[in-house]
Amino acid sequence: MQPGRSESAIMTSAEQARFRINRPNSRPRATCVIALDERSAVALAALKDRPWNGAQFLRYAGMRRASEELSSLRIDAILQDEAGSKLSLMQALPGVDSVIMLTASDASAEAAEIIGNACATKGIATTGLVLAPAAGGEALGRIVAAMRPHTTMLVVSNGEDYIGEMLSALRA
Amino acid sequence: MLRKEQNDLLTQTGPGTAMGDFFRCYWIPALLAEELPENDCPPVRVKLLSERMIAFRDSEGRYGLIDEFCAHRGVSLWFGRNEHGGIRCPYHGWKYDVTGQCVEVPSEPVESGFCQKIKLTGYPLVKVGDVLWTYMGPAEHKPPLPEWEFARVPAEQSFTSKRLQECNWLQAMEGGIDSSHVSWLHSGNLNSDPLFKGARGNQYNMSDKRPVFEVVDSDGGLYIGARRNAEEGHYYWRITPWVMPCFTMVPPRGDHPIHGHFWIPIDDENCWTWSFDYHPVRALTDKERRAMKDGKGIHVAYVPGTYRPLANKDNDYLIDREAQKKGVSYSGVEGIAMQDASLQESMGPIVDRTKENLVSTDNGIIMARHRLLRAAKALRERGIRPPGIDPVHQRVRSAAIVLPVDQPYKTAASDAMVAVPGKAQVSV
Repeated sequence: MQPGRSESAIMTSAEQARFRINRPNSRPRATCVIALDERSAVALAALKDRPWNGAQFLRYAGMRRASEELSSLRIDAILQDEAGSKLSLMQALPGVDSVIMLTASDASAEAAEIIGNACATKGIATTGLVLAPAAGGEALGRIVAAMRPHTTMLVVSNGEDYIGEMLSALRA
Repeated sequence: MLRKEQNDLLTQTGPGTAMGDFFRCYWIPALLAEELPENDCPPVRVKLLSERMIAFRDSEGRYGLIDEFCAHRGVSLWFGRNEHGGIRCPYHGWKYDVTGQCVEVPSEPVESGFCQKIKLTGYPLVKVGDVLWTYMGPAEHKPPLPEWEFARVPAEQSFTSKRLQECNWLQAMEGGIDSSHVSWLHSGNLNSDPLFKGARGNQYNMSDKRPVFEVVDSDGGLYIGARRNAEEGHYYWRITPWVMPCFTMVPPRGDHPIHGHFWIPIDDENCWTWSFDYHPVRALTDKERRAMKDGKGIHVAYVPGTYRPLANKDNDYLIDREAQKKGVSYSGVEGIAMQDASLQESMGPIVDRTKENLVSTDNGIIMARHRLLRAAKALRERGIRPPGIDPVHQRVRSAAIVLPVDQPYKTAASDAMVAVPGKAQVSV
């Protein structure tokens, strides 16, 4: 310690920043990104070749009666991976830390409800990313209203380029 | 997280940098008008965007912001004599006007016109409200003067302060976008600070400590909405606008004045946090103005004779562990402004964002960075002037409003988010 200087003054200097521990401070997180409609599926597919930290890229393909694994819910979702293989939401969720739902359509309300309810049951954080339609206004309002009850964070973006930025920022 | 090159781009604002060019598209606050209180008053050293300058007010009341150093031998003009329509270097008497034009070189024959060949860099300095604003970009792109409501209402309705913050501008500004910290860091102040207490909205804040966020693009930047449960079938929304590059407003509480900030880079490791309070339709009361001057609300008490906060890193922010333990304040640091600044400065001069672990509720920050990066790139590569310059983008307000659960705040509260002269803020 240098006499006459407070600990905060010393420790917030650029010089002291050199001594910060330089080892990883987190383990990879498991992120499941689900496109709920065609436009968002196309936007998501365009990102698949970037380097990700294990994120699953899926699209919603429909619903079915839930299996016994999801005893508190009656409905499960059918999802499709990049290769076109189908799996259930219940197969996709184990070990997942965060689910991100992408949509540009209010027709996604059913999908958002099924996925949101399942995530709420399993204690998984949900983010909704709405790609604003060119029409904006009422159409956007309907999409947001459809997504709001089923997400713990809702984002409305005017550009598809935000998808990749957000996923990268969240270490997906 | 950001990649290193992204972090460097956003945090470096010196001449020639991408973000430096970006900031130089806007009128930015440079000084409080009180710093140059009268004609021929002492000049003031100013450092903005890593450029050292001198500000002065000449015998005619004109304001100037010019290169700090005399073109002759590099003497600081802070020692200059401000007299007879210009500032004169005390070393050999070279004299400059408010544009930086040299108007006298005593050692050279007047007939030679030598002084016409000497010109220091100078920027316009204009008073709007209580603030002297400067524009440091190319003259051909000078935008219209600022239209921010706090600077346009009558003087008795507005109060502005500034404080030195000893860290990069971006980590300071991100605190203004990050609404989720309020329920923690500032939880001790809602019912005690004279500029916050008593609002009905505070009850919603206290009874629902897990707000849900919605981030929406706007023409000038973003709106960040934080919703909490209100009466049956309704949400209580607190809506924060962010306008590029560095303007935010805090949602109002009851009939208290509305407040907000600018974060202006001094250099890459320091910034000015500008804080304003105003009421759109009434004069501030003596009690409110006194509280602001005393450092309540978002303002601070100063080290006498400076704009450095009294609680600062040199005294460990006067942290009171007993107050922390008792819950008087959540962090033990007194006052909303220094609660924020102490933590933001603790990150170091420029936080390394490659190491951070953002989560979903950080989407306001993620999107603001994205918008800044995109706009800075568009400016650099295609010359596209960024959002926030258009006066329409500056006529924004924060809002606190109760809405039915099925209504999107961006449309349902659209009128509340526009500054209209003479119209009261929407607040709960």
